[in-house]
Amino acid sequence: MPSKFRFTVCAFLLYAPILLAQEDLEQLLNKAEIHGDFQSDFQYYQDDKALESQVQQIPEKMGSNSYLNLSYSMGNLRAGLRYEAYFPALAGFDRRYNGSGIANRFVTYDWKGLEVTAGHFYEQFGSGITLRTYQDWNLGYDNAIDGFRVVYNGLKGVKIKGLVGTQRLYFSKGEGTVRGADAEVSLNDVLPCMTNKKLMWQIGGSFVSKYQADNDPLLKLPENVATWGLRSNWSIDKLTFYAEYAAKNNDPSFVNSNIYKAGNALLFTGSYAGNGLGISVGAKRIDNMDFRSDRNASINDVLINYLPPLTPQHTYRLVSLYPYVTQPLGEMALQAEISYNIPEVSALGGKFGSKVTANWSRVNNIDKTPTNNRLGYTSDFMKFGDQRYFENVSVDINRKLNEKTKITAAYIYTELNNNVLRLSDFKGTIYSHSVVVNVLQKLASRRSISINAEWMGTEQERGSWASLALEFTEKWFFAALSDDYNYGNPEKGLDLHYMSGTVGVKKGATRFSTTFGRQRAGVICVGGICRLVPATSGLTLSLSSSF
Amino acid sequence: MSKTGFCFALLLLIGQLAFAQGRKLPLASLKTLTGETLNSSHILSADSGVVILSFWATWCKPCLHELDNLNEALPTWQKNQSVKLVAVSVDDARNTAKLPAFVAGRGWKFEVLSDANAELKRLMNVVNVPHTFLLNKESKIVYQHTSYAPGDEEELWEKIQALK
Amino acid sequence: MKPFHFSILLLFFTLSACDNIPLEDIEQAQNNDNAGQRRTRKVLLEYYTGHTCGACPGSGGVAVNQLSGLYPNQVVALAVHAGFFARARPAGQPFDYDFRTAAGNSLDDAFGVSSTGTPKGLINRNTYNGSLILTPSAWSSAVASYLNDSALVGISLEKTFIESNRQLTINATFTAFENLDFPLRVAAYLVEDSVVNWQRDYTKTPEDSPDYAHRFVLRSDLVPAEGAQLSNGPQNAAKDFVTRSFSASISNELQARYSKAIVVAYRQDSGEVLQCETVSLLP
Repeated sequence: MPSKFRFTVCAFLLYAPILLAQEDLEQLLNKAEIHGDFQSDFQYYQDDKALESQVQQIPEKMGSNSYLNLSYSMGNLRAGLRYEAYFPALAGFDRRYNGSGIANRFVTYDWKGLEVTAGHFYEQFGSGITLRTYQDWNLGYDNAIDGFRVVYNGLKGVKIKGLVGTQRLYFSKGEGTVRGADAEVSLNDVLPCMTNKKLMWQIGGSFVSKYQADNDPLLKLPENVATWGLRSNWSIDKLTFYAEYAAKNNDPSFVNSNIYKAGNALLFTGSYAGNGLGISVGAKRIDNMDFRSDRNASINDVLINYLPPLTPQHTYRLVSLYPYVTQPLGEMALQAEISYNIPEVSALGGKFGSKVTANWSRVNNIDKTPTNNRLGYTSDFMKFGDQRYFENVSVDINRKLNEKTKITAAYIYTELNNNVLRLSDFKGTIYSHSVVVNVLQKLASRRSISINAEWMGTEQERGSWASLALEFTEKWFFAALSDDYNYGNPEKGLDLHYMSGTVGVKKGATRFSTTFGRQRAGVICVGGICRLVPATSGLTLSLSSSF
Repeated sequence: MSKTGFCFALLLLIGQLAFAQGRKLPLASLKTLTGETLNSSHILSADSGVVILSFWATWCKPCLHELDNLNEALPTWQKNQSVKLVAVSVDDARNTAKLPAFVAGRGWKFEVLSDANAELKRLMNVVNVPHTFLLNKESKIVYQHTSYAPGDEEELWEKIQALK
Repeated sequence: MKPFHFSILLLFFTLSACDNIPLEDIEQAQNNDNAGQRRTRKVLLEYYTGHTCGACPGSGGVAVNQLSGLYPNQVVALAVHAGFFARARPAGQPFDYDFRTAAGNSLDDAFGVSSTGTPKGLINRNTYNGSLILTPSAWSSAVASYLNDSALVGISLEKTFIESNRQLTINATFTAFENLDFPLRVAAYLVEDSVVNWQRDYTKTPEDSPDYAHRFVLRSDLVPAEGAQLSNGPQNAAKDFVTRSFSASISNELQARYSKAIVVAYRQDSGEVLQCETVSLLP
């Protein structure tokens, strides 16, 4: 743009609010709103001799991932876009995130209970096992559907959705087309006999189908593959039950090695929420439920559905080394968890009370009988396979010692079958015991320090670890120092200290931090999707805010 | 005038627009812990009081510290003025089924809602949890903060008192 | 139309959407390759793999063997060992043989293949339905899309291999069958078949086997002395418009009877391979 023009526009934009009459301005501003959020992460990598054998060589010296979300809303209309830039993408992110562009744009109009969206949208049917599109920036995951969606909410207790579109694949689109419809009914609102009943009952059903042309000269591939699901939620007094069943017809793909077997999934959870006591149990079956809009896609590309893992999500530093990820080709899982708020001034609870959570979860393979044809195998629905994929036994205690001190202690035992999970090259099952102790001490009105000590003992994979992390916060300033020490690594020269230091500032919705040091290889998992993080050494700058 | 200058000016204007008037709570669908679907307008106070809206997740330890501390402080605050706390969980399907039991075991006395596919989180431009908003009597957002350290609730209390 | 009725219609629309293929209809008759034609366009199937990539033999390896077996005169296969799963272990351990080459590493860096995971492949280094890097299940469709093409470029090869001093010389003559309005470049590779060494295969028990016969292994680059440029600008249809000579001294490690040379002509602007040709070292 010619500079004189730019200057005029800038001047207008900067001073317009003053130039316009106060009332007109109020009217305009009362209707229109512009909001947004952004995050920018920058990394500079330095050579680290000790990490050479672990790391895939990062040819670029630095990387940066940034995004800016902007949305404009006025009355019933809302429009927005997201601009993303990778120059190049940070280590561990898919290299197809390259360059910059508008990754997401949409317009939504809401009118008398009917909401229409054109462009990119995120949606979830039930618990996501038939369809879930979502985005997670730290994971580099975005399977948004770009198309058209209609949501009808006009009748009380009824919600109907319909959608059609193609999925985002980095800066382009997936090959197939996705169409779906979902209906959810709250029987208490719709059936007169249920109106004042104590039992709350919601039911729902969904149907999702994808189309992809078949150009294979050797196999006749189904061009339309559908997944349908039924779900129900019952809640009475302190008890809640949820069940969802989904089935998929033949879907030969790269991930399932082109078998023609149908898929199915069953999720069931029940919980009791009493006064200070919560108990939840869950059971799950997944059989050949990888569902993508491109049958040739792999890793996390163009997934249509989301298969939640039925295992606890630990965010402790060392325990997060071995996370479990749902096996879409088949698994059977069970979970039981108790949360108890031990009352104050009691023998066990101490002066201020304690909170305890205990969890047991187990995942096995499904029963499989191979067939000698393209069907692949048959599987007995209710049977558990004899191969263990994962087991977790953990106890977390959180206790307030006095007005200024809080302690968290946890013990976690996990068994992870790495022949199936393939988190690394190690073959066999990884057995690990972990102990975590965290002390949160308030030093003054807005000053506090947190000390986190962890130990993970294992004889497999990279061996045992010990970790110490200190975090200090004062009003808008924070600093942290940490060291993860892989003292038990069997490989010579790899029993390293992964030390790093962070300083940063935060105010309102804005946060800026700088980290320098060595980062160990690991996995970042959110929900059931993971990203492998390579070991790196260097400087990281991170800025995020929203307005 | 350079391109960056132009962009900066544009962002300044956006900033002015945004701060010129408090932000309203966007419309989104949330679920209660017993499975009913609610409109986000349910979060607003029934008696024109002040509302604290806090986004959290079961796996976010600072969020749990913040909510535990707010749970303790709330009865004292409510003696002074009408304050409502609504905690919206951004846990996805992996943890939503466990929410009722988890919340019961935490001993929280305030309302908890579930935003399983991050719809309200996205509409409110929340980047990371914890992220806490304060809505005034006209249901406009007047204060927000992200991340939590013990004592942050004291700043929140100051802002609440200013709205009396 | 009332919103409620519209939603019902949308529901109905989506409900009529799924194909169930009966077992007996799955395998199809294959297209015969049209090798007999003078202007056959050969297809370069570049397979990226690694010896510790357990997922590779079952899908990628099987697909390469299947396609090169079905279309022996039209598919030219090249296996590039590169990336994380091609790293060599310290000497004396299994997987201590280094299959990686400078040529393979630079191809991998240029196309960014192994970083997206292996097994992956490039078909004529061209996008198929919008994707350049393809998983093995897409290869047969991608290859089939070229089988009936008339070639724009023709390559004819003349080879001399002197066994006593292991000196290889190849003379390549290039023909433009139609007017080309883009410059052309050439690449040439030495490939060895049946290299027996360790390979991990998740479909086998035990997973690690020392006797896997690695096929179509890329050994080296045979860049001609005059450089890779064949034409600098548009080229009118002409027979034998340029020749190139490739020579190399074949190392003693390679088994000449299982080795061949591949010569590739590609567009300078997009990298798309327009023609490839192979010649065995022996006889």
